[in-house]
Amino acid sequence: MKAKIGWTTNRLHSFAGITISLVALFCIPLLGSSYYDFLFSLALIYSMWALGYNFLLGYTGLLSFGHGAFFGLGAYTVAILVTKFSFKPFLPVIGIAVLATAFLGAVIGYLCVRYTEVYFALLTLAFSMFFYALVFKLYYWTGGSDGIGIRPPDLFGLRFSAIEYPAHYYYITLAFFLISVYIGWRIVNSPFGKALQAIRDNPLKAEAIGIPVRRYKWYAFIISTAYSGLAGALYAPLFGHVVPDLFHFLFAGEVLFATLLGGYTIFLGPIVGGIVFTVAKRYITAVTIYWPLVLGALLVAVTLFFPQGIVGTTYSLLRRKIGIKGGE
Amino acid sequence: MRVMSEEAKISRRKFIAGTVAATIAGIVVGAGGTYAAFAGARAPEKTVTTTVTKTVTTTVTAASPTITPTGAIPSGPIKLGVITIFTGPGAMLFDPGFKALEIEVEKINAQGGILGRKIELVVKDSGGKPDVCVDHFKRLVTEEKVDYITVGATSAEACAIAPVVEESNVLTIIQEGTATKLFEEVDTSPKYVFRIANYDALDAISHAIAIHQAWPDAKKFAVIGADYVWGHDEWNIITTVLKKLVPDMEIVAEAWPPLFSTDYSAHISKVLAAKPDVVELCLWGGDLVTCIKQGTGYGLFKQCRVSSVTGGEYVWGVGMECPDGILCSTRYYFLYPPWDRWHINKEFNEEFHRRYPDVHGGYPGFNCNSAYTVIHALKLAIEKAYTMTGRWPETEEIIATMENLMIPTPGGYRYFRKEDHQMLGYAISGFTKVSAEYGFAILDPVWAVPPEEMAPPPGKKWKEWVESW
Amino acid sequence: MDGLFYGSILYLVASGLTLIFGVANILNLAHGAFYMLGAYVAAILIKLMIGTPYTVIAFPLAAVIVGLTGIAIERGFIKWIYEKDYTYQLLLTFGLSLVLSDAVRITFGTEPMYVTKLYAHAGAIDVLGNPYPVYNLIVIGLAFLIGCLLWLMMSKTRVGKVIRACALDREMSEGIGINTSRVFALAFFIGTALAGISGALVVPQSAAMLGIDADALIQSFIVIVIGGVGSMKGALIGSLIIGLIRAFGIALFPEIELAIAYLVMAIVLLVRPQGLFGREYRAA
Repeated sequence: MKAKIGWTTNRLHSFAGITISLVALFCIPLLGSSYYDFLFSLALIYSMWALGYNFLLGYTGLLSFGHGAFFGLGAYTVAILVTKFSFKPFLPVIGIAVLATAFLGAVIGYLCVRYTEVYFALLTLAFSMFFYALVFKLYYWTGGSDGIGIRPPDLFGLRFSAIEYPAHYYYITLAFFLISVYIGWRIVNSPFGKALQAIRDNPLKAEAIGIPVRRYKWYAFIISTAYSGLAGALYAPLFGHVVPDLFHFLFAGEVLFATLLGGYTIFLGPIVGGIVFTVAKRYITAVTIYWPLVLGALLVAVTLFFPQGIVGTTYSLLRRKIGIKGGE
Repeated sequence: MRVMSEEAKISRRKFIAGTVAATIAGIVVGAGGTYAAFAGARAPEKTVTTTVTKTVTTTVTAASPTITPTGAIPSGPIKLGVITIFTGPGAMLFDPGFKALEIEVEKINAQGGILGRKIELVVKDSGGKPDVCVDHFKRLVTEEKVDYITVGATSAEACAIAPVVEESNVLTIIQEGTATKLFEEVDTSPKYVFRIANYDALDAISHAIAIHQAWPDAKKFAVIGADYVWGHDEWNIITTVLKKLVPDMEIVAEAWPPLFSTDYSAHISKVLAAKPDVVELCLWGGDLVTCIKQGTGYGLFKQCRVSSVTGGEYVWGVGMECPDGILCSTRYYFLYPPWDRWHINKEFNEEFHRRYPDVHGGYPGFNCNSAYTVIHALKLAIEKAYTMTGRWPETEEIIATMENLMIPTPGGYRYFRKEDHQMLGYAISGFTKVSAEYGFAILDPVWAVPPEEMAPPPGKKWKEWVESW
Repeated sequence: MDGLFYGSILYLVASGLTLIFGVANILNLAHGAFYMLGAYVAAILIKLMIGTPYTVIAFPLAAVIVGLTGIAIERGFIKWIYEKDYTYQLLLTFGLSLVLSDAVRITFGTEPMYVTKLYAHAGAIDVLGNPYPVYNLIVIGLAFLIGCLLWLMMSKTRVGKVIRACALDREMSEGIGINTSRVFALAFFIGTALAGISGALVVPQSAAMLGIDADALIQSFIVIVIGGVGSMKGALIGSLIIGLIRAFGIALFPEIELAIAYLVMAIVLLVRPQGLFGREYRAA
């Protein structure tokens, strides 16, 4: 079982690890820097995005270049609802964005999951670029290349603008993050989750033991797009501005990078990957104007030398050193 | 080609003959007063609106270099955050601008800095991405604690960053980022945001008027425009103005190549098939160069008259093969004001040319002028505020000073409009003419129009403004 | 006629991409970067040689330089992941594309590089009463010639046969004594050189500038998907189709021209995933 962190065999280790991470996440606003609140809100958003993405990549073995489009759709749904319809209650706005994205995901997914490997990747790429072209063209609704600037929606009359009250927004993002991780964890450990892994490891065998392969892939696609939609919906108020670049396949490359950086064979991988990727990318762009070179080199290094990603490699090391069980 | 230059000559002669009387009804606004301070620097025979009466009321406070700080001046350098574009296609516009900024900062630092404080640049690359730009801004404000910020921004970046600036209370001067909607919709009463470059509506309105003055008989118009908000907006404004000036005008063809295309043949063919009188090229950078090159191959310049709203400095890339007689407009032109009449421009150009003979055709472009203006506006405002406060001025005091400041820039005196923090500079137009001296086409004749007579007044949207004529 | 020129350039880029995929089974996301590199190298070379009769050599020379870079990168990086999951292959080439295009920026600067004289000196001729640039005709002819050479090489020569054998079955080819590693390197050389020459050919009538890599990559994706991933004939047909869609799209439905191309790509993938001329696709 690749995707298990050893909940049963290493309960203690895991419990300690989770507690420490939780405390650390709760404490970030105590650093007192509004920049870190902002940065880690973004990091959690990327984590959610990567977590959802991994249902497809890690658990089903499908590489999508289209998840930028679903992220973008979530973000644009929020932006359009808030600016064009003046519909501002926070939770319903987020809810609608997730549903809209999942609905589109269901349609696109239905068409895509028949294919695998490069064909699947190219098909998702085609769809995402199609939507990119549409968003670019439909000026009235999307603002074209200038994008849409949005004021933050309301939550129970509280002010929690990501600009003025970044710590508030951080906690809201954290709440969504924890719920997402919990749901993700439940899905992975459900019979459905096991079936997905069986599909990834051997689709023919899975078919033979009676798993409806294509339908399950479709479900996985929908789940992952819903996660992307949620991440996008939370991203829009954080930046206060959305642009068509979100739909571009190069942007989807970021979630792929994040997922592999963390390690896609392990549940924790994309979560850690999302956070590390965001912090690293922002740090690298801030310190050097040669950031594409550094990021690219990092990507090359990860694929060549640490194909298991951060979490995978750490597990391997730990296993070797202190005999901890888990990981692969 | 010879046919073309004959035509161009005719139209140019016609144009010059027409200019003296050619004041467009309804656009004469009496706000040009402050410009009298600089009236001498304009070549009168090439000035469009010579009939505007001007009164000499100068508000210029020349900063004397002999200020010796006495009040409380903090020690340590001034940290100026710079977010601009070094990666991706936008870099060609902003990289030369950053070089100009560096030149000026070095110069000011060599003279002792601002009130004795050296300027230290904290530089970030946004790659033209709004999210990265916002991220850098937050980091600069909260982590790196810079004093002031300047952003070399795309339109999308400017719109994304303005609301963040207003809530961060840090004086931020935007170079370019010329979306009309920035101060019309996004940030209607700016406090901390200032913008340097002439913005899109001003560019387009002045360009449309120039087209009409150059070719009053033109009725059928066509466009090859970059397919994004800027291209469409500019064309929309240009045609609205032309409709006002030439009620029976018609748009016969529109072709919208995506940004950074390498092939315009289908677009050129489409436009030529419609037999327009004037083809507007709403393109910039390499796109415009490519389109002009390919247009030559397709006989575009033999069959119609061509104009370009940003052309001025981009035609340099076409080299000596640039057709004569393209009507180009721009926000700053390296030969205007003429060097013999405006020392700052001469010095600026010579310094840039000496240091970077291979960058940007060897001469500064409009973003270089913006970058120059950023640092000198800041310097002037701080020094002037200091003379009133006697200590290092607070950001709000600098802003108040900056709102009432005449700033000598290479492109002439410029100032920020108090109401919307939009800087106004001359709207420049001219006809291309290949120059062996420079090795590319320069604008000759070139003329400049005071912006007050073109720009929508503060608080008025461009559409209301044009329709009110 | 307008679509033909665009299609020719596209054909050269896409055939390189599809060749690499067909032989080495790698979808090279860095292909656009090689195209951009070709443009910059050619611009430098032409500037050096302009005015001399050797200017024409700049184009093949640029192609060879890019091809050698291609081999270097294949030997240095890509070689190690042939056996790995396609995920890593895509990711590695994606990373390489970032590195390569930024290296181009660092080396050649942010300014677009323009080349004068060549395009204008080629002049224009009358086609049905309208002037048509001779340079475009040369490029179209050249693309045709290169296409023929490729076809001859693949079908008539021993090298071609070896390459095709490798493409069909790597293990079997190794079994009969073919050095597949060397064949892959050769495929990379030819593939990237094709990207390089197309970048070079764009320079005289346009410019070498940053950002042209992404567009070239996506456009050639569309082409090879329509024609069939890995099929050389498909690249030809695909680029003609896209050239035509573009020429007609600009004239007839300019608002959605861009979206249409992606839609065609998606539809072809859905209806006939192997493309018009691809090897048969076995659905999972």
